[in-house]
Amino acid sequence: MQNTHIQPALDTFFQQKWKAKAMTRAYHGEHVSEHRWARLFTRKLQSVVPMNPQYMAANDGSKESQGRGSGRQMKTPAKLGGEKRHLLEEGVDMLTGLGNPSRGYTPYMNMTFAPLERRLDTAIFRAMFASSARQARSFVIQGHVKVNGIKVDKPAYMLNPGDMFQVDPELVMYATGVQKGQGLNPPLLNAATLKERSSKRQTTDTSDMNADRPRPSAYRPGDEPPDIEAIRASQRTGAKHERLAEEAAALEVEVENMGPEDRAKVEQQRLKNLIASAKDLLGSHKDEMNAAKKRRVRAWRDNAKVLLSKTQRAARQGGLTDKDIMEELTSFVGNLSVEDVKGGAIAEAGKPKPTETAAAASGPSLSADQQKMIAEMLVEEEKSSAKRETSAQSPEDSNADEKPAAKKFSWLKSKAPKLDKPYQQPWSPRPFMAAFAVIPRYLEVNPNICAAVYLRHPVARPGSAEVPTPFPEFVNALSFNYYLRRR
Amino acid sequence: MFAWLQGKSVQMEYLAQTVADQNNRRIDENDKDPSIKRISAPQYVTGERERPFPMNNLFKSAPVLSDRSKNIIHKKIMEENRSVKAGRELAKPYAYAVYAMLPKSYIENAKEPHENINDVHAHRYTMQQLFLPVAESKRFTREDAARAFHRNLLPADKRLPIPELVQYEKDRLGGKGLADSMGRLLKDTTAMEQNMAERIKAREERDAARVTKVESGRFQFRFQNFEVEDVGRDGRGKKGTGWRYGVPLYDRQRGHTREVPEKVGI
Repeated sequence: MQNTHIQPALDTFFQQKWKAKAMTRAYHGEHVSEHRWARLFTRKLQSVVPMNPQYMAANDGSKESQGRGSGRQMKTPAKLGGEKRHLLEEGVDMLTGLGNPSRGYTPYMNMTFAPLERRLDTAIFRAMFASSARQARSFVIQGHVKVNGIKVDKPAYMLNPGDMFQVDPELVMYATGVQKGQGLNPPLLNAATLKERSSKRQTTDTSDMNADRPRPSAYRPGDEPPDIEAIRASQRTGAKHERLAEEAAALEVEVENMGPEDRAKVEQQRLKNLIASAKDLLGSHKDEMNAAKKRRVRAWRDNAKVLLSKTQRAARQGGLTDKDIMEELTSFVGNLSVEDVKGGAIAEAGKPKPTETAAAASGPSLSADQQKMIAEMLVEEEKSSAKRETSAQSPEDSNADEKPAAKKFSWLKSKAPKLDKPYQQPWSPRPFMAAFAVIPRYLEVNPNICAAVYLRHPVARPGSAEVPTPFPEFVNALSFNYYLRRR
Repeated sequence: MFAWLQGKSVQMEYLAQTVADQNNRRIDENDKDPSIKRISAPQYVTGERERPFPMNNLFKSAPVLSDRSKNIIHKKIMEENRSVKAGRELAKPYAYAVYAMLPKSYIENAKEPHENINDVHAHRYTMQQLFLPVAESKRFTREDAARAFHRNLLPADKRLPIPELVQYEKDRLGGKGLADSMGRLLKDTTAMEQNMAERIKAREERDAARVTKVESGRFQFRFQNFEVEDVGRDGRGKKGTGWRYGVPLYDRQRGHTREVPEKVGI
């Protein structure tokens, strides 16, 4: 295995530089290609010197030029007031107001990777909006980042002083929060709990299925298709028709196993029932609907009629076996799933029973949205009609009627399904985030709205450099030297 | 570092506390950050307050202004506190955690300024080594030093972000009262700002006066005067039209080389 440690006593200078470059580049802009970085590299490193106006007012600088050119030796130690203490920490000589080499020289070499800090993705990472520069890069590419209010999808975008960038707060929470299922917070989720939960869910699911679904009874293609709607209707009336309900459930399975011809018949019946119920809706409950609703029902009814007639025409020409036609018919009727509701109402109200006409054909179908809309409408209508019917029916029957329908279509009534957050809730920071929590001074960050301003370019000052680098200065110096070579 | 890895860290403390806070009560801006009191200092793996990288002691994690202090500044400056766009959910728990992890500075009861406002940028001209013999008897000041580096380089006193502060301190040293010297400082800075605004305005007006704008229904035509003579004797003057685009440089062409020395001076 190659030794990655820099050993000044053993390695050649080039080996040292190479190792240093490999180490530093693994941290600084690892996602930036070497070629790109080499073009960005500059040997001009920015620095500032903190000045003290108080001292400058008292001295014109001639003191520093006395002696042999590096300032006369001062014997009186500088008095350090409490309020100026920070200047001392920053390596400022209180006597001269300048950076004092003995207290803290300017670590220019730690500024080697300063040009990378201008990149948008790096800045996002530095502002702690992402857990790595690479993740920040993907945020930019995916279009979640705005610079000065305009979406920027270039991770290499060079920020200018004063530029404001913002990331979608939800994404920041995702990037910095504990991942789902790995939560450290209470409730502590370990593998055992998860397993237990999932197994519990499985058992309930299977038991439900077994209870509700009886074995399909024998059905031979060619027999007259049983009246599904009637059976379903009776299912709705509750306990007294348990046997029929079982049969209906069995039929559901059977319909799927039917031959194309029989299946077409069943679907046609359903369609006819739906058209009848739409007609009923427009006739008897006209006053309860507003104009827009009526228009939608009429449009749907017309489409259904066209489809039905086309189906019949195709059947006469012997096109029943056409797969496409079957699919369309099934999707038109099946996607709605309203017959569960509406069929019952029709049967109870004594609406026209389906006649036995065998046909199938293609016709205009509705978009998924339209279908959903109609379904929703019919459900609403059904609910109101069920309410009306409850007055005539016995109380226990009405309860048995209403509940399953409401349950089945509850998702339709609610607006967009509320999506769960992509991170563990309640939110907490990812483990070990605090160890690397740094926000450099050249960024002004508002974590509440996940926005930050790139105030200025990073600089070095006596005693410290602003580029967050985990490497000691000599390593940075070696890699600076590596890139300094003339090309 | 090992304490950190064993979980005796600010993050572990924070987790226990914040989760409880989030569950029990709302965290809002006016609420004094409870974490600030209980979690006294962020512990980097070095165990120090502002040094995150064990190998690099020349990097300091600079304190950020606390949220409260930022709000105070915002209120002071903006008079009316405009809220964030309605409907945008704030990343409160995230902000809470970030502030808990970082070193902070406070505007109220601040013993030290948040940062130095008198940083002078090290100019490129001053980065070179310069050997300048100066008589010992000469009073060599900052102005002289600046001039030694470059004839146009301003001395540090004038390159300060707020050079008026030096005058203020001079006044104070000269025995002027606080009110007087502060009055002068305010007057000077206001004048400076006004001067700058006027200059910018004058420049914009001058530029606008050069252009004659003609509105048609659909377009705005902009006409600018150009002197034919601007191109100069050889037609290659920099002020002339088209200098920037397409004027070829003949400096490597045969017969175009100028100022070829014709005789050798002894």
